[in-house]
Amino acid sequence: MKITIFLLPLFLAGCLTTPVIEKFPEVPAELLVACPDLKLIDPGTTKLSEVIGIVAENYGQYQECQIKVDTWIEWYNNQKKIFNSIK
Amino acid sequence: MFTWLIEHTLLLLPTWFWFVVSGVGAVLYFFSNFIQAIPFAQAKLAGLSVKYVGLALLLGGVYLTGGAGVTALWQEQIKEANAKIEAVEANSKETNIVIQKQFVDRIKTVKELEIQVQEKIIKDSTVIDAECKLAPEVIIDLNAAAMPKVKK
Repeated sequence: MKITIFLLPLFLAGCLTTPVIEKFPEVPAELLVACPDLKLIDPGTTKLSEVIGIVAENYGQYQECQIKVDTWIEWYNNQKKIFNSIK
Repeated sequence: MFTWLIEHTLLLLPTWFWFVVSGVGAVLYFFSNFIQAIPFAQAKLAGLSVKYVGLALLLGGVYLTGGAGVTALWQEQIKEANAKIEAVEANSKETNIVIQKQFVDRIKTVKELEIQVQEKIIKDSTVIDAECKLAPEVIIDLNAAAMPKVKK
């Protein structure tokens, strides 16, 4: 009888499952596109203006990728802040 | 399998059911002593059986009463958590829309400037090419610099 009385409160612990599902945040599709390789100069080129044109294009390419990386950082920081606001 | 059984069968029963089971168990357990005291040949065995059945019902009933109580408590918290998650997901989507718009605008600006630079180079090409002789090493060196250094 004494053992039974002692055991009863322990049994009150019961059992359960807690189904809370949190989805991973979506990323804008534009950010999932990889940066292309830099453009190469045609070996047969003799004009400096063509070389400068390709180099300028590559600069532009770098700047686009820079924006992409900056946007990824911004996305991560914002989503982290939102995620931490749950707790 | 055990989890499925709990989720789909036991948790569907109302909490009062487990109170009743516990109560019946307690009553059986309590009266088993009286049954044992009856002066019949089989009374002791019957009383002992009733005692164990009563004990099993009491313990099982109390266990599942506790489970139902805790589950109800958690269900309330789950509701709150799910509502929070929904709000956070909506916030996340809004943030994504803002980020996406900023990204598209910035890329558009860069591309517009690139076009302007290319037009300027074409315009200045006569002057650029007039006095400069391009050594083949220039192309080789620049291409070497632009080549991908790491395999994807």
